[in-house]
Amino acid sequence: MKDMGRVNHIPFYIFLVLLLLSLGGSYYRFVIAGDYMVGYEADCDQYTETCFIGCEDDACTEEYYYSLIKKYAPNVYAQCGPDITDCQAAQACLSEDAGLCEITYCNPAVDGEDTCETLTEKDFEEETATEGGVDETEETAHNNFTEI
Amino acid sequence: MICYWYTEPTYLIFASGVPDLLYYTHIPTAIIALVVGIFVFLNNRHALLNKLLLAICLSFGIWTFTNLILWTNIHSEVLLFVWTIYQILFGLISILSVYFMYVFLEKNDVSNLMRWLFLLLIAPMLIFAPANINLEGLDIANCGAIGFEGTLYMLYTIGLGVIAMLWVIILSVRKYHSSGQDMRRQIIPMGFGVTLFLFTFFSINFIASYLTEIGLFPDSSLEFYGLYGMMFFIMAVAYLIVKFRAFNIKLVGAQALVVALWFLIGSLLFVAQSTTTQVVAGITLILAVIGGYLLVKSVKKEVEQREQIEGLVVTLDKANERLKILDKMKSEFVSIASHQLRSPLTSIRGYASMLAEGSYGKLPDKATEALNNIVDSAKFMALSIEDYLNVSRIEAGNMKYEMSDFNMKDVAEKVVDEMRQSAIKKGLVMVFRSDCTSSATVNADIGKTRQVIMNLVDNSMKYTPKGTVTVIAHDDVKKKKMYITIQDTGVGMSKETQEEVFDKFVRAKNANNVNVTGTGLGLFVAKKMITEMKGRVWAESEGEGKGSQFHIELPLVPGKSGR
Repeated sequence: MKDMGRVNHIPFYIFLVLLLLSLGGSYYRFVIAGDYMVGYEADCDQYTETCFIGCEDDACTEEYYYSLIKKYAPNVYAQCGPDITDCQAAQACLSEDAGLCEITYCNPAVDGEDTCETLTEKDFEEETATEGGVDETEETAHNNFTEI
Repeated sequence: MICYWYTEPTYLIFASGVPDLLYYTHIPTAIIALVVGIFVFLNNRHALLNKLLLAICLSFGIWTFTNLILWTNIHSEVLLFVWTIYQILFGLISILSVYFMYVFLEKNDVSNLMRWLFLLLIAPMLIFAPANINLEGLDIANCGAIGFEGTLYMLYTIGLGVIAMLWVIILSVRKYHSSGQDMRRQIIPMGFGVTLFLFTFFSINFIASYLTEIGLFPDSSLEFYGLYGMMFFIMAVAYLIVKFRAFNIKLVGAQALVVALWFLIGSLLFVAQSTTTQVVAGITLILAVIGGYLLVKSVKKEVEQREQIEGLVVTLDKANERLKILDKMKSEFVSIASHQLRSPLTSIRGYASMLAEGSYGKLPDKATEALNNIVDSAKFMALSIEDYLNVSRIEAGNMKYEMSDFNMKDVAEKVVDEMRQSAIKKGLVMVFRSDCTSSATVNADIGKTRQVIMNLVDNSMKYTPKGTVTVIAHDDVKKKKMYITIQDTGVGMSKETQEEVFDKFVRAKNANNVNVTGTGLGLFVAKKMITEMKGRVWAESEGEGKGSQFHIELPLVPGKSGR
């Protein structure tokens, strides 16, 4: 190696400082403060919403319906603890979420017809006839409803 | 928060439900990279190139480990923190690759300006790593950040990878054009190694993420294959170490192959499904480690011995060169010294002769006898100096030959006529005989030929206390050769002496028996001169006390055979 004269180490030290700050900042934000959003699949009523279709197994012999929900992690933690399984509060946007909550329903135009399950008026009437009538106050199906 | 569909991993990275390929691609690759990086670094801790290679290998190793955590861990806060490290390492590996390639090609550190440029490129990744622009959150259903990653940040990371790759290509191509053959042979594998590493590492990782995001793949397990990019780099490094001793490491191919074999067998342990296969792989690994160790030890010993011999050859070559220089210096010294001696000697001889001959008046007989002794000694000394001068001229390559056609028989006859009186004075009979069937014409330097014949006749006279010295001129027209043979009835010589009598400073072992003075250079000079004139000189004797024969052979001039 030839002698390059005086080597400037300042960029390296700045890099080290930035690296430490970056890692420290990330650690504080994600691990200590838990300042992030979590996304998960929430319950979806296919009679009232346009839901995503999920499969219970690889062969897809049994389907289930879901919407996508994004919530502020500390709120979810406060409502349900670390595990949202069997936690009803995690399934909807509540007033204590203070706007840091978003539910996304399936949009056939965007997500594809096969991905979404929508109960049409004909389906609804057929089902009503079969079941012998439903509550008239029940809402009709929504398309691409996003509630914030 | 935990990813509720997955189970907690054991030992941080071992979880059920993940593809086996995850471990098979990640663990061996990371271990190989780390072993190579640490091995190279430990061999020369102060070399910048070695430090940079270690930095790349360490970054890659940590990146692989973070990737394993991302695939297996279920805690959102851990995943998000590790995700930021994972992203930063992408940028770091890009910059380090360029830095490494620059130092490899230029054998020099980068300029201060370049350092600032590197910092400028990596700084945005560090500054924005903890921000929403990088990561907003985590999908705890799929346990991934797809849909939560910042597009701008991701594009910047990809862009940095592409810039690094192009930078490496440009640096390599530029250096290739301005380098010699040896460096070019190193640039090709290293340039390809680093470029392929960056290309595979970045392209496959981001293509896998993209294809998963658009739903073409159920998960981004395609990214596993991106890790094999590191193998291109490591292979290039290993090739250069073995072939060119790059990084100042003495490693032989056998060592590299044995280590590769260990890793291959060791990696089987990670994919073996049954206990039996694992046991077999384990035993094979132990045997391979023992056998490989013994093989490497043996090869290393042989290589060290070979290197010692090579080192000795180099030392000998140097010593030989030095000796040649010293020999030349000695010849020059002898030449200068001889010239300095010759001039005063001529005066001594001249004035002594004049005094002895009475040019300055009649001297008493005893004084005349003493002066004659001075003349004889000065004459001998002049002849010795002439021999020394001839030797130094021959060794310095300064001897000049004036070639011409002449009758060799006549020259020999004249020499005999000149020396006959001296022979008679010594009580010897000197005979000349010619058996020539041709004109005896040769093409040589007449003066030097005469000198050689005179030397040989004088030599025979010296070693013949009594009897005859016969000079025979003869030829062989068929062979087109002319010969002068000097035959004596002197002390003769052994077989050993015959072989070395023409060497420098060699005198017959029985020389002192006949009280002969000489430098041991006359025959050496004679042989050198005749050889230079495309002839040959050799000696024959039936043994000590049985006389000797000296032969001079020169080629006859074509077309002048026949009297």
